[in-house]
Amino acid sequence: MDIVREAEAREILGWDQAQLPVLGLAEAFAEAGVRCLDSRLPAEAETRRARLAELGQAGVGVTGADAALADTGSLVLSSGPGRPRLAWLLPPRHIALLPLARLYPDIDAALENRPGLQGDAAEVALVSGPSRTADIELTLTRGVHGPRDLDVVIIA
Amino acid sequence: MTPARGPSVHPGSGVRRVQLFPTCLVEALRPEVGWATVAVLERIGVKVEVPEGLTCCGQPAFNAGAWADARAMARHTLDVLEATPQQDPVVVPSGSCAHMIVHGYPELFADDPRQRARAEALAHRTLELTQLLSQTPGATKLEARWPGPVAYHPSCHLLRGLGLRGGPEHLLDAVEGADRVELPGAEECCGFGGLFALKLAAVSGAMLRRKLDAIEACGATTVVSCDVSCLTQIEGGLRRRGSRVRACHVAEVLAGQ
Amino acid sequence: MSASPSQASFSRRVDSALQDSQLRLALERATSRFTRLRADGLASLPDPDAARDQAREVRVETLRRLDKHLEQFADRVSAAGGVVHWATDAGEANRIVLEIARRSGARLVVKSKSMVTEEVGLNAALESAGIRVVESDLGEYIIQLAGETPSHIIAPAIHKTKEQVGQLLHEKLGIPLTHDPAEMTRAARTALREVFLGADMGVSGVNFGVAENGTIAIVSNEGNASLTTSAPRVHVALMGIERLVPSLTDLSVMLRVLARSATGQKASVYVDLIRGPKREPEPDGPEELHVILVDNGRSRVLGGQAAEVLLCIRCGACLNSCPVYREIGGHAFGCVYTGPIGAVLTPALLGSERWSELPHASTLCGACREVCPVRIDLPRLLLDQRRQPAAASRSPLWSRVGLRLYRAAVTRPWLFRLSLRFARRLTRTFARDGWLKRLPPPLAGWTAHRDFPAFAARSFSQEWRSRDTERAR
Repeated sequence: MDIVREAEAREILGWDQAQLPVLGLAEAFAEAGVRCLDSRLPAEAETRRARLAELGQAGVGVTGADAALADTGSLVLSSGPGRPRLAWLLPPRHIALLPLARLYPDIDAALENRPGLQGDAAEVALVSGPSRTADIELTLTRGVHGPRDLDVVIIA
Repeated sequence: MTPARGPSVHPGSGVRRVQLFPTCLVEALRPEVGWATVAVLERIGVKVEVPEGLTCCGQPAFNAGAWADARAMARHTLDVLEATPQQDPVVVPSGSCAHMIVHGYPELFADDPRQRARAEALAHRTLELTQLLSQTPGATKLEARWPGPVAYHPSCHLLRGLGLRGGPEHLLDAVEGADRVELPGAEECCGFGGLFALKLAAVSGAMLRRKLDAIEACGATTVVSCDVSCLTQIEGGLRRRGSRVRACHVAEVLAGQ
Repeated sequence: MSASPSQASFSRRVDSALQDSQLRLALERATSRFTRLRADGLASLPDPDAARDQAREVRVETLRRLDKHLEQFADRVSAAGGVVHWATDAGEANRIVLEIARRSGARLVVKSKSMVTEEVGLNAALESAGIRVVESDLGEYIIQLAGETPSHIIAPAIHKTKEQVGQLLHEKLGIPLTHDPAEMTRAARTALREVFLGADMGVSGVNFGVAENGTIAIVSNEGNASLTTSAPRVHVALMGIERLVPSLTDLSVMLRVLARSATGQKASVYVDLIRGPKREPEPDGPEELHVILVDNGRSRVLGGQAAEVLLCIRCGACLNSCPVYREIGGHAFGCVYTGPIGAVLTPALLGSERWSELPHASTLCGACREVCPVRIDLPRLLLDQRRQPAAASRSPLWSRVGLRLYRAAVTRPWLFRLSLRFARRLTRTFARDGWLKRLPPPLAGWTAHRDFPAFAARSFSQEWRSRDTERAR
């Protein structure tokens, strides 16, 4: 909530409460007057564009994490029911809630302990930091298209 | 070029006589390198023979993709070097020529079992000069002397083709007065590349300028290489810009008095 | 003797690159930076050599049974709900994309970086059908606005200074003139955000396809590939048929060396592993996924001498290590694939005759082979390209005549000695102080940049024989 307040976000694009490892978030948002946007994208072109424009307003994205890899500093995030991909892509700030037990040394350990990691998800993303580029004269800039800030909250 | 593969000859175990392949550039441009090579070899107790009829290893044709021509030249070299009954080690004062014989010749005859066998036999007894010297303890006790700091430029075929890193430097360090200074970008190509120097002359010139800038900046009074090809490129450039830095072959420094 | 058209234009491109001091400064900075980063990145691995050996093994195995892996891949993609298309050549690839666009009524297409789409000329094909295409990778976006082609595999706009980019964005986006990369990036982000959110179709490349379960793996640092493949209704992924790995474990072997070799990072910021279109009831993701498998000469190369070039994972390390690339940059090559890999891949895929100069734009120094994460023997492949008969007939007259004379002299010692005598006489006549400042054509290129030594008074062997005779007395 601190981060959300700091970011002065009025809208959140996040995973459903059921997909998050921390209880009571939905209530906390409601109490603070922060709106959780409906992340479902219609198939029809115009309504889809309208929904996307709305989602583009979100100041913060909130997700859980299926796993995290220590050697590369990566989060493993998979899409699924109640788990929009755009939550970790669209907003300028991304908060990932990571249960400590899901932190592994590397990808091999992760797959060993959670063989079904890829599961049925249409997409599994390995995210290793905020969005960045050095395309202009090799000067590093953050927050190109994806989030500029990534906060990982580790839950013991 | 293909990665390093060492010869089967280990001169440390008592090589007494070698066949010297002077190389075409030494013959034509820098015979003093040949003499320095002979001097160094004789000083470590090795008798030198120079078979008659050696010309060029054929590398320029090989690199140009003219393999039919390269094969003709390789066959000639094989004929000459096999003419002597004793199969002594062949010493070459050039990384690129040694690389040509060791790696290029077997490749040229990949589809011809008989010629390939000859090529492999020759490849197995061919060494670049510093390769031989590095395996001979006496080579660091030559009591050679050289005035002023030197910078070492490893030729690409010596360094990456034959995998000879550290050997020439070690030999140079044993020469009194030849204080070795680090050459920035030492492992970068000087831009010679054989016909490349003519076909893409301006690029070759640009690469050369980088090398020369590094040489002039490092404070050495001599730049040393194991390849007369690199030396011709580098010295030509040093002369063009009126530099006082000398460009010498490693054999000349090791034979230095 | 006149140069063939493609030779003339290659020389012209090289010359103009050499005269472009801004370009050369940019190249110097970029290549030295990437080289250093790569070295650090690989050093962070417990065993960098083993990692590269493993990566090579994976790719060799892939190509060894490419037919089998492709079949399995196509099968698994379909099973996951994706549509697989096979494109024999560039024209077919573009037709397929156009057909998909037509069927879905796409007017705006957002693209993430894909070399194969540049290779087939997809953007031009879409645009002539009246479809607007916008590149989303910042570097690609910049050069698209400038109407240029990429000059480097990893950093396409590396040849542009920030002043040039600032000017460009000022003109094309109407933003106030700035030289601050952060401000420029923000402007691009805003402009491209609209495209991501409004595009009907997203087109991407594929870094690796995983045969065992039909996953397509796409990496980016900006997240543009992720957005391209998540927001639009239709996702079209183009993939060269050789860009497969057998399993997910193999994929992690490749990813371990890819980012490190390219930019020194341990991992690219975003690695998207996509298997099929969105799976109901997922909230977002594309409704349709199309995977277009592009051949365009690859199966022919696979069956030939240059097959090893197909191991390439497009990391760009060879470009950064190449002393020739550092001097002339990517545009001089005149094609989408540049640097050492381009000098082999372009003639191999698109025709040795048309691109015969490229393999000669190298001193065969071997720096590229030293850095290739899958240990492609590029110098060897360059040599093989030089041996192509089509290439040989394109070499200039002087070099063919010279070669003939050279061979005759080398195989006949008496002629060798005679030639030395002749050259000696000529050079010593015209030399000043032992050096020549001007050589006649076709050797004039040498003296344009350095002096040439007069031949020695006596050859080594001449002197050796006479001393031998002395000793014998």
